Amino acid sequence: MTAATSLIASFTARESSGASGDIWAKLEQAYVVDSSDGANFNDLYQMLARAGSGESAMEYIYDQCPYARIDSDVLTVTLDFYVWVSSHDLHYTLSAGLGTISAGKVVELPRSFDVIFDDATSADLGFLFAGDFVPEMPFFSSTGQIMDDPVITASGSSVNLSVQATGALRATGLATGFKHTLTMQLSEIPVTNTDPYTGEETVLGGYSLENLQTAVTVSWVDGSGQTQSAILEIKVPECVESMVTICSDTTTLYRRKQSSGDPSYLVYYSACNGDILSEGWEEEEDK
Amino acid sequence: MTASASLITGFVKRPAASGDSFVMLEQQSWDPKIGKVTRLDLIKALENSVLGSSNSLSVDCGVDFDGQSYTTIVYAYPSPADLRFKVGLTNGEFTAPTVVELTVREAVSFALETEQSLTYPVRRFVAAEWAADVWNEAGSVVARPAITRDGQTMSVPEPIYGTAYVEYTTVRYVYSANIPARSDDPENVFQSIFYAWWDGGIELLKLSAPDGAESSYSSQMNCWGERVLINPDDEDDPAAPSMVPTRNKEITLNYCDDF
Repeated sequence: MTAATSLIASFTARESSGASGDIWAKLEQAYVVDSSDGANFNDLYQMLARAGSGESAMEYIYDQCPYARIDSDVLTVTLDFYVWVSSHDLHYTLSAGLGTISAGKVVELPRSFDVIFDDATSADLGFLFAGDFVPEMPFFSSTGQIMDDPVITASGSSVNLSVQATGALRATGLATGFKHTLTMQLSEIPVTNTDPYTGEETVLGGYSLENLQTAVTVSWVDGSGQTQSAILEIKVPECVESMVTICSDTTTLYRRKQSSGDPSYLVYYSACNGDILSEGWEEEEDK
Repeated sequence: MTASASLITGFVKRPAASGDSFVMLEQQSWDPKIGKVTRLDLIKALENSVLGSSNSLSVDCGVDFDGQSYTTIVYAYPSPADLRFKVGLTNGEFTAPTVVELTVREAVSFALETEQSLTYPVRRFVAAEWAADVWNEAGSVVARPAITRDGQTMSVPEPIYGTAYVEYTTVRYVYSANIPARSDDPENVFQSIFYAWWDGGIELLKLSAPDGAESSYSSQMNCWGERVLINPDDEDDPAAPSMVPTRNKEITLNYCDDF
């Protein structure tokens, strides 16, 4: 198996900021649509359509997994993550146990969420945020009395009330941070499957899935000169594992691309991974 | 009657300075089957596709028909039971409550402790009995101690290992809340907070949408794979959205030869 060596890269934001207070960086994996855990009627119809027209239903699984591709027996997995920082000019270092990390790109993501004050005067948003804060309910004192709406102020990654209260705001605006892409490459490795009855060995191709487990670490220096770090366990989408599951079924199936007409066009493919093994016009002896 | 095992979602805090009065909030847990397409469902779809059958295909996605809202049950347990309180919702509407007194039977386990708390406020205490032997710190079986109660707190005189079954009644207010999608928001469209307040405190409960409701809303495809087309012009008539199946390819197969 070939895996990309880990990369330690350091990045400095291109903008400066007057943000003060604690110095921090946080990691967040970009949203992963995890659709491989089940299938719905649409999936079934899509796969039936492919199987019935001479294509492999496996192609549909590949199409539904935008995080990975297999090219010349090399599996490439690409996953995005964000680095949220306390100020735009924070210098931070990234490293990954497996894979390479792209340079950061400044992003402004539209975000909308509830901010809850639990008998408090401030709430930490977790990222630099610019937007509107609208009260969603009356503000209450700790004894359950409705108060006049406190003055709301926002600065960097925090939002503050003029008095201690319990209540909720709706935040709508832009979160600012850095987006990086983690790229992992794995080559197909020979895997031997031994028949338990005959002892016959069959060499199969596969990818070592456990090597897809990885984490990203961000490090920075805080206000007292101490190096701090945070770790993000990267979630590999289940559909990636489905794509590279080692298959021991050596059955070859075929489909007619046209159900009528003479001769028919036949496609032979592997029942295991959907690879097309051969195709051509039906010959007399095939009938 | 035994209380259903419910999920307390979001954070539930105890009132900070409430004396003896408080309101506990709880959301009814979602059925694990919600949003799941079963093998039987898929076989029905296969029948429709291959054999031309006309099985009705639908899965409970936990959201309303057009995916624009969901309905959930919220419980409020006041203590004392006759506490006067009010409730509100940050996004959505809720019905007037029905009030029931239900019997709860729960297991309370002591692990070298002298105090444990019951889950719900106690309106009327019925009974407490040890489920099995009781052990001390040395691992020896000891005489089953008397269990005393103060409010929701169950106490024994010495630290012991043991489990007791406790039966009591509690008063529950049941609300049905409908949470619409926040159509202008890019994410967290179903977020909503249910809250209760009384003379003495305030309690908040973040409501949970059914699994997959947010992604279904953003992809406009329901949990069984049917596309839900939202026409902005239909806002005045939300009960009649257009629904178009995503199946866009007709396949003609010879069942005997091709399968």
